[in-house]
Amino acid sequence: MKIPVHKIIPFSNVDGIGNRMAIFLQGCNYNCVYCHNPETIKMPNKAKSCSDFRYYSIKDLIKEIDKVKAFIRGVTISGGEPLLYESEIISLFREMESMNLTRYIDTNFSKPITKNKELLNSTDGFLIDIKGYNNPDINILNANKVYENLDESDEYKRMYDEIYLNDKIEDLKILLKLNKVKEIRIVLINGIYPIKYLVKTISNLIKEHSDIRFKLIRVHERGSINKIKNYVPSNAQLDDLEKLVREIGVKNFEVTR
Amino acid sequence: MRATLEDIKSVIESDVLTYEQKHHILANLAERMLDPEELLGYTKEEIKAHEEGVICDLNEGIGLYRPRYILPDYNLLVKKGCKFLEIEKPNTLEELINALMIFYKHVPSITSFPVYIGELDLLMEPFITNLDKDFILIKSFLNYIDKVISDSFCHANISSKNTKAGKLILKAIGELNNPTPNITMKLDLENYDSDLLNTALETSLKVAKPSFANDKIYSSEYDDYGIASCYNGLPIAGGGYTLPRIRLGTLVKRANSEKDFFENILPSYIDLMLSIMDKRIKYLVEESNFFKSSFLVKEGFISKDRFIGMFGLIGLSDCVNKLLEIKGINGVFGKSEEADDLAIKILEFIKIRVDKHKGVYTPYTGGKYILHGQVGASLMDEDDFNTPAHRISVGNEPELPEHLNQAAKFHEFFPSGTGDVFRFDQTYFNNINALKDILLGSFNKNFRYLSFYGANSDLVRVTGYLVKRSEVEKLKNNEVVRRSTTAFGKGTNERARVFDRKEVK
Repeated sequence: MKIPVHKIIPFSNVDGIGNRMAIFLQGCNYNCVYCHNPETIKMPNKAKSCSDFRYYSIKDLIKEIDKVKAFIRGVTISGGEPLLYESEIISLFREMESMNLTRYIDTNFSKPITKNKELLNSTDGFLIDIKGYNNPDINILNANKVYENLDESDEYKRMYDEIYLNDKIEDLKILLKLNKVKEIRIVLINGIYPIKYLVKTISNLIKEHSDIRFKLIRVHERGSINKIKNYVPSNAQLDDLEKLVREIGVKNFEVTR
Repeated sequence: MRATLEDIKSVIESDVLTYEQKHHILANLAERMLDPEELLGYTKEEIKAHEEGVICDLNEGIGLYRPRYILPDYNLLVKKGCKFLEIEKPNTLEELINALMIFYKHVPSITSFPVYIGELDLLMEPFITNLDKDFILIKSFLNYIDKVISDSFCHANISSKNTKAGKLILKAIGELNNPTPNITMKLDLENYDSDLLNTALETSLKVAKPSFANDKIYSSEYDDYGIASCYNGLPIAGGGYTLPRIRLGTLVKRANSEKDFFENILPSYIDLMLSIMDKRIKYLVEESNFFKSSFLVKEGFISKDRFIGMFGLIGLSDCVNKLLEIKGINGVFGKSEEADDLAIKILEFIKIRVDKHKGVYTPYTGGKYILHGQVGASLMDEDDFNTPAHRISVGNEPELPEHLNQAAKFHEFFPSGTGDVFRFDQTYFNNINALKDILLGSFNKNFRYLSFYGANSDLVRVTGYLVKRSEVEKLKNNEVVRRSTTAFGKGTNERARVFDRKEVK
């Protein structure tokens, strides 16, 4: 069984609490306009050259982990989108069972997690990047420019619940109960989802869990700013959100402007 | 090694030395005017070894009149006070601090200032009554030390136990941002306070101290130890008699093959060094009368039986690289298994030979002299070719994980001290647990000593002691600076570019 790995960072201090090995996989089902690892987006069969990634067997990865095992708290699989390689990751995590290291996945939450019992049982923690609704690809953004402010439409919010949010909340509730949510990030971008509604819903869900890092990040585009300037939330919007989150009672959060 | 009248004259006429510095250097020059053949019985070969630059006495002196490193038992001061200095047994924090301030003035060492000032949190804890008031006392005491002990080889220790005093001390050093005192936390892996350790790590990112000593390892080697000067592990109520060093990077140049190195060159210089150490210690104990006349001995603050001889080594990496070159093998110390294996072979050879030797006046170690990873001083051009201790030279460092795995192999050889220094970028402030994992992981791999500092701090750890970058700049512009260690730091930076140490991101 082989996994396409873009890069391994043996010591990372930004992929969960503590010192962790971060393994970035090649290939993602999204094409977010703000991705800060765009080299990891292309699927392996479409990736340009072999310098983009190489295949590792489970054994190879265990070997890499072993080299630095003494110094790390655990391993975080990131990318790209790890859940495109569910079975490979489950195999890896199984092999890691006796290593006394925590196993995390950083995911765009586009695929259901808790329905997959094997995945759930072998993963110790999830860092979740909630996209909000659709893949925030620039083309989708342009097509979606239906409402200036999606929070204003109750009809939209109902549809949003049905098509997106309810499923995510189900998954999240189970993960929260199992204490397997380590971090939640929301990139704030106008035009795809009702920002205030989403932030409010998530905040209410996690407010009792003071160990979860909640990060709200204003969108920055890779490359030129012009493509998304219509979708960038204003400072006033951010102030408003910050106030909202604080009032709901979430302790461990930060807003990146 | 030797001094001349010219040296004396140039110190007297210097326009960049303070009175205190001149005074101290003149004393050192005086004892280096004596003839080592006459006074110590050095042979011509032993003197030649110094002139060649293979053996270096760090200008420690010829007429030795006090041990190089002294670690008084400060607990005794708390229990009994001190008759000679007319200090009463202290009953309050104020009295304790006053007692220590007086006592420190009378603790000699190679620098003329105390190189060990006690395990401060444990000394102070019984006297903490009011956190706010006591913080002010502690902060001003620590500032006193920096301003009066003008030398950052002065070293304080703290434990890893949950004490009020420990927290106050860390808070104070974070605010003061002074090079002195150097501070080490004796980290007990089985019994440490997690919050205190986090605070200590944050403080070290901010002000380059405390450093961390592996308490488990040192406690297995010493019944009661302190960390003094740079990072020297030595017995409390004792210390180190002398610390000469072999420049392995210079020694290797005399060898024409690996066989020659191991069969002739290395063993003969080890023997010269052992003989030199015997002679120095003998003179100190038998002729200088330090142990007869010092109140520290008479009142039991130190005992002759608890002093050890320190066999210093420097330039391991340069030695290994040269030997590999001679053998026609590609490989660089720090990035090659073969280089590491050769380094271990060299250290094992030295240890076996040094252990066989019956040293003098050192019952504490059963007569053995103890290896020390010496960190360097820029005394002559040869120091350009000798990287500190067992370390990889600045500029050749591999990534941190490899570096840690590599360095871990060598710490066991140096019970009287060695250490590694790493510079971390500011993101570690947001995830101090990551730094903690690295520290604990290293100690589990038998590192004995680690220092960290933040990439942006003004305080920088040179090779073992601290300097302020801003003070070095002053020295470069020929201004007078108070701390003698600043001059060392400037020299070492110019030679080994320690200010450019690789940053861990």
